[in-house]
Amino acid sequence: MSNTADRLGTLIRDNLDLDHDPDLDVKFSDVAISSVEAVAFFKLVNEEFSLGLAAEECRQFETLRQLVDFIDARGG
Amino acid sequence: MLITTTEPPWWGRWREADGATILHVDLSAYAARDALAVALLDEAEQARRRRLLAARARREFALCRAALRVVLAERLGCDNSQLSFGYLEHGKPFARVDGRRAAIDFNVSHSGLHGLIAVGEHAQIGLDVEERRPRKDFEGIGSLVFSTAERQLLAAADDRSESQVFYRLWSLKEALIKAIGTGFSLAPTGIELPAAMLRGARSGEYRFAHLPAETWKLIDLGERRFAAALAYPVTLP
Ligand SMILES: CC(C)(COP(=O)(O)OP(=O)(O)OC[C@H]1O[C@@H](n2cnc3c(N)ncnc32)[C@H](O)[C@@H]1OP(=O)(O)O)[C@@H](O)C(=O)NCCC(=O)NCCS
Repeated sequence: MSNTADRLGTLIRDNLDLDHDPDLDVKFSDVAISSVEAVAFFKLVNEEFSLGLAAEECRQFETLRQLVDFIDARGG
Repeated sequence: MLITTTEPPWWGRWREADGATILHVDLSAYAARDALAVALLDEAEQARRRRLLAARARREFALCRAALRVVLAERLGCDNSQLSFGYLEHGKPFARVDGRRAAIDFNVSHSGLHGLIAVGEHAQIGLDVEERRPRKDFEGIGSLVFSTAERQLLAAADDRSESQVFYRLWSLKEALIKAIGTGFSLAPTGIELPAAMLRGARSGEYRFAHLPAETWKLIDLGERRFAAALAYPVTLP
């Protein structure tokens, strides 16, 4: 796993109440966390990687891998 | 506990709101209910259910979708096997009978132990329910979804009322973006809830900035167990 993926994995394990390990290629829609939870997590990701994204921009990412690629392209 | 052959329906009429019937779905975990619910789902729905990673998510989906199927089949006078669902661009489901779009609208929401289903003749219903789970980051989340006036209201709330205020605002906003079908792909901070509702009114009217000719009714359905809201258009161009 890349450094970015590791950091995201830690954020997930520390903050989301999932009964399974995060998988880079599972679709967020199949993880089915609530929208409150999703926005709360997105806020943490924004802070961890200084992304400054708005809530409506999170829908462009369908999987964790897409989010990792986006963050890496921005220079982590 | 496992209930077997005499399993009563896990849903029931909850309230009527201006032409829409709202049902409450009990999402408690009972293996027998899950089995009955899954049996009512078609192939596509069973596949969707299997893809969901958490048992909780599989249960919410199956119990709500099965209840929705029974209610729609009753209303439309068709058999469960004739019903299927299509999805709009951002995932909002609509019903089909024998492959043709049915003239009925509905919306589903689930949170914790509570599912709600709104069914009615309105063109575009949006519904949201939120159990008021305690959190430490209400203001942080609010900064990504609430307008300035809504953030001020949340900031002014004391510790005891903060979760009430947060989930009320959230459900009102989500009912609107679910009515219009965009979900969170429509910038939620740009939606300013009706001023009278920020002052506590239980219903109000709303116009999306990009759809000035349409007026939407917004109703606060919150009660002791959860925050909830319903939205639907009162005028269509
Ligand atoms: C519509 C949306 C707001 C639902 O959020 P939610 O609070 O998780 O879910 P709710 O329980 O209120 O509603 C879910 C139901 O709404 C319906 N629904 C799905 N997409 C919808 C849409 N675009 N508009 C209206 N209703 C929709 C479905 O019936 C769904 O239930 P089902 O899958 O069991 O049939 C969701 O599409 C969304 O935008 N989520 C944002 C979170 C996200 O996906 N983030 C990605 C990672 S940052």
